Amino acid sequence: MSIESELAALHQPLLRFAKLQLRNDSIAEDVVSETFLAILEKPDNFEGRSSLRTYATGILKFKIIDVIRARGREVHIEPLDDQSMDDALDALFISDGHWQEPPAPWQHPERALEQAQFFDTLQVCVDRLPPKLGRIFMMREWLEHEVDDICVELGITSNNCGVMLYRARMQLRECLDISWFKEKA
Amino acid sequence: MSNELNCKEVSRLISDGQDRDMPPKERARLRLHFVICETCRHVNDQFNFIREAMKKLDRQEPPER
Repeated sequence: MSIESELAALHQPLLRFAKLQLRNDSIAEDVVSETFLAILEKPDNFEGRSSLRTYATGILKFKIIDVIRARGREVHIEPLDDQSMDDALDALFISDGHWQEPPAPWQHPERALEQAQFFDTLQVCVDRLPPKLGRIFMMREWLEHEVDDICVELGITSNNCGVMLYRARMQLRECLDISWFKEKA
Repeated sequence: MSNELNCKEVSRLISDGQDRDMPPKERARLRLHFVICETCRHVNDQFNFIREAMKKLDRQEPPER
């Protein structure tokens, strides 16, 4: 397969990630195009690597980080109000801090990682997070930024950052529990 | 009772532990809770699994449609 047709197959998945992260369709198109251009300008750099997808994603991540940095403090996300976040989380626990419905263990999570269908479900669950939570969660887990850098980039306190990541993880846990692990049980 | 964490506090600490190094004393309190609480051990495993899955999210081939 030519590099062009391989890149063509990557276009939609990469675009989806860029859109989710940047929340701006035309800028997302731009960073994906720039990524492809960077690869096509120096195809030799790719030679011998295991997967074009991994290579392209690595470049795309750097491009996305550049855009987020360039935006700097323009893209402040509104910190969620602590009270409403606490209320939603409180519903999962009874007053003494015990679980309302104790989470059950997940059966064979390692098998899920071998199934493309599981990653579709994971993507749906990430997309379902409120936009602010989805964005900060992706910066942490997908772009693998340090949490201090995220706080600075988004202009929020580290406590607020921590609460938002906590809430994102709790919602994602709940979503995967219901949409995948209980379904497969 | 001040040494004992409840499940709600533990879920927050598990999340925090994925973002920063935890002081040894705090880590010990968390692990003490895992000793006595199976549910929170599951939640810890699940948070770790989510992190691992997110790292692999972009390595998947595009789904055929």
